[in-house]
Amino acid sequence: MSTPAFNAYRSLPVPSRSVHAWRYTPWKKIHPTGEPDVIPSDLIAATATISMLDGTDVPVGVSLEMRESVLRDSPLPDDDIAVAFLREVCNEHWHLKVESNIVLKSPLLVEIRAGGHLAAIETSVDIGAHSVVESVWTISGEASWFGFLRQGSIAVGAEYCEVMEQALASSTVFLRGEGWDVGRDATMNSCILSLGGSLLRSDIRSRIVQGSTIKQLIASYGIGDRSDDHHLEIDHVFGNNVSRVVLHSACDDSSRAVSTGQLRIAKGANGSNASQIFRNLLLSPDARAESIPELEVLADDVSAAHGAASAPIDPEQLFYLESRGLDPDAAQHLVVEGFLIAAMQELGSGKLFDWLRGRLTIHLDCALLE
Amino acid sequence: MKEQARDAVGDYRFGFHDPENATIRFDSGLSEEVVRNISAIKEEPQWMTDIRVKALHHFFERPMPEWGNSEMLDGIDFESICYFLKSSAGTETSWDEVPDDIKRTFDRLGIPDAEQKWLGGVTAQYESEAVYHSIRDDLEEQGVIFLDMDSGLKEHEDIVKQYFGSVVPYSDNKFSALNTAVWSGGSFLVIPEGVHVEMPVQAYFRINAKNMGQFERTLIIAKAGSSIHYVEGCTAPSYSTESLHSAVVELIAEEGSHIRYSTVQNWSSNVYNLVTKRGVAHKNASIEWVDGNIGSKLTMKYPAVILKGEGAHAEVISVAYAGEGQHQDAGSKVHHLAPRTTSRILSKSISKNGGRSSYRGMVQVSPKAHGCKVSVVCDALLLDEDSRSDTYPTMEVANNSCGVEHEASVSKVSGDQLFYLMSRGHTEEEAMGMIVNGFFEPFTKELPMEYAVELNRLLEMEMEGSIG
Repeated sequence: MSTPAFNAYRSLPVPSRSVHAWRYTPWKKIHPTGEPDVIPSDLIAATATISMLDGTDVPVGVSLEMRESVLRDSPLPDDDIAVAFLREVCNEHWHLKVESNIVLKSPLLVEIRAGGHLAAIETSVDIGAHSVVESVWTISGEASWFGFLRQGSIAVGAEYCEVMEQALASSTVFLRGEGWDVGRDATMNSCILSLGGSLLRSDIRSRIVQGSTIKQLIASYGIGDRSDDHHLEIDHVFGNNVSRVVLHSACDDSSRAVSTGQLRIAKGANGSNASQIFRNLLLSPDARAESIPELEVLADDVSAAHGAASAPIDPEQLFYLESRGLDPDAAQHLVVEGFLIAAMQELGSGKLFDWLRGRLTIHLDCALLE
Repeated sequence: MKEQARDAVGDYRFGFHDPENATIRFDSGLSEEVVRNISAIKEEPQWMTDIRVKALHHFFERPMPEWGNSEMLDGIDFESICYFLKSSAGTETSWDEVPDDIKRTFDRLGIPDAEQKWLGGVTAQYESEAVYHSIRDDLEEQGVIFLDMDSGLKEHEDIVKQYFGSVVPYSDNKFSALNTAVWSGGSFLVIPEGVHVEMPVQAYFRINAKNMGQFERTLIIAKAGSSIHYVEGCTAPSYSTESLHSAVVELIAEEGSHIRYSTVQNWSSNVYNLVTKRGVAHKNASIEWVDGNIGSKLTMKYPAVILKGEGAHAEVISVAYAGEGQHQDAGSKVHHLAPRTTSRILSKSISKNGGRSSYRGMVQVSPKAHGCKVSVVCDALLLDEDSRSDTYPTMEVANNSCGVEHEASVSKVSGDQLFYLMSRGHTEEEAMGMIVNGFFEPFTKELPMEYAVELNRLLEMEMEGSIG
């Protein structure tokens, strides 16, 4: 086997901890066999289906098709070991395409299911110029390891809003790589609800140009010894645009949340407005949170800010709720729910917000019953 | 020719240099022989020679850091540097005994004058060794030990042996290894239990020769319930070739003591300033780093505090000014190891004329650090479109009863502020200078008055010609 991707993976050194994006989850740990030299041959492709959230037919101009994998110019670096590995192991490539000038009345529902022992899938998303699209993505399944590679482009003037519920089995190891290009005057709002899996490593990188806006919102809830590592990069290639990253992690038991990010404003990208906020709610003495929100600013007429905070629940909030009759567990769940919902507030779509909030509530209620 | 010199020196006020009158000057280059010779000249005990040699081998084996400004770091030619240069026969306690040319230098820097007015003690280091040293009689009577480090090793070997490398071991990083191998000069300060040194003590470091390496080592031990304010300043002539300053500073703050360590670093723009500064704060002790970085070509300096005892406190206030060709890579590290420890980090930077400033920081909260509080604030101003500002903070929290906050912002000088000041009759340049001084105010107000005035003057000089 000697595909270009295979050769690329083999030629890459295993990244050391001094590499910002690999500081906390070593490649060996997230690799399906734990042996970086091995490329497993028994991976099966995850399934992908598309429908409309309201049950109507998928309209003309919207399609999800399997096609040959195409190497495209992407913010995901070719020399990243995880990207090269995912390109190697993803046998199937699903392409979601929305033609130009399509305005969807109901959100698309894209369901990804990872079955079997080891599973992987590559997807791409192309939203045509001036289209207005909302979508709901669900990722579920019992695979012990799941690799997910996604690349997307939002064309000129398009508006794309998506939510993703990641509810894999509690034992799944999940590796995700995503690269997004947001075109001129286009908008992309995305919110991920990260609930499943035992060890997760996600790398999402985006590029934005003039007039574009991107919001990347993530709400993560960790129980047991779950480790959820998110790396987010946004590159302001040109100016007069807006980016916002909000990541809220609630960590219970001995779980761990890792949030690393980089906002980069290129030379001359004046008028850029970039912000990045990482908040961690520590619910247990053994919970851990690591945050590295980085900024690199090479233009002067910009507004760039970041913040990070880690703290336990304010005892006054618990006291308030308990004084109104809630038992301590229910009070804590209510605070956690509010904390995670706060990450989704800026999504900009009532329909998607309600859907995601419902999923979170169900998940927390089930956890409370357990 | 005159213009070439002007290009090299620029507006740097301390860029003058005196003729070299070295009594001992080693050939350039680094080897075990060089290290053993430094130790032999100083008539050091065997254990110190052994540490130096071990550190040298560690330095050779250890690769250059992969993070930071690798391009600039790779430009250091360790073989072209002179690792020991002695300009005076010994350390004098009276300025009259100091060789004339060296005294003239410190006169121009205003050190003897400042000593008379507001200092409790002074160490003046010229090249590799201290040339002048004094301490007020009343402090000496109270048992305060303030010596240059070489004398400290001779006169208090047992204390030095106990603490040397206990906070910054030679294996900590490549440059701490280099310092440990070739260290010379620096300050040794012990404040006895319960003694409060009211007036600051000062060390002034001057590099005069070309291709010089200055590797001073400072050790400050504040015994229980004592307090001290230590101030250091640094300058060097402007040459077209590069010099290296790689110091190690170790602070030990015992129970209930307080150490404030203030630095105004104003090396010329041909100096690499790669410094390791770290303190250990025991129960209810506090350590403050007040750190100003104005000069140098590349500064990599992250003053650190290990909060080892319950209730200990760390405070780091740092400012950085990065002009043309400069990279100020500064920041801070605080490790919370004990319960109810607190820390505050305030970092401010200005980049101008293509300069680059970076904040690189780390806050670590260990599982045992219950109820600790951390606040980190970084503000950066960019004065033109060729400059750059980066922020690389790391927060690792392993305790759920603590509060950790970090915030950072990057912006340019507000047009509204400029307009307001100009509408009251100031020129644009004056207005910009006032805004910059105001931006740095949280730092300058922590400095002794004379230093604050000097810093403001320096900043005004740096700001000249920044408009238009």
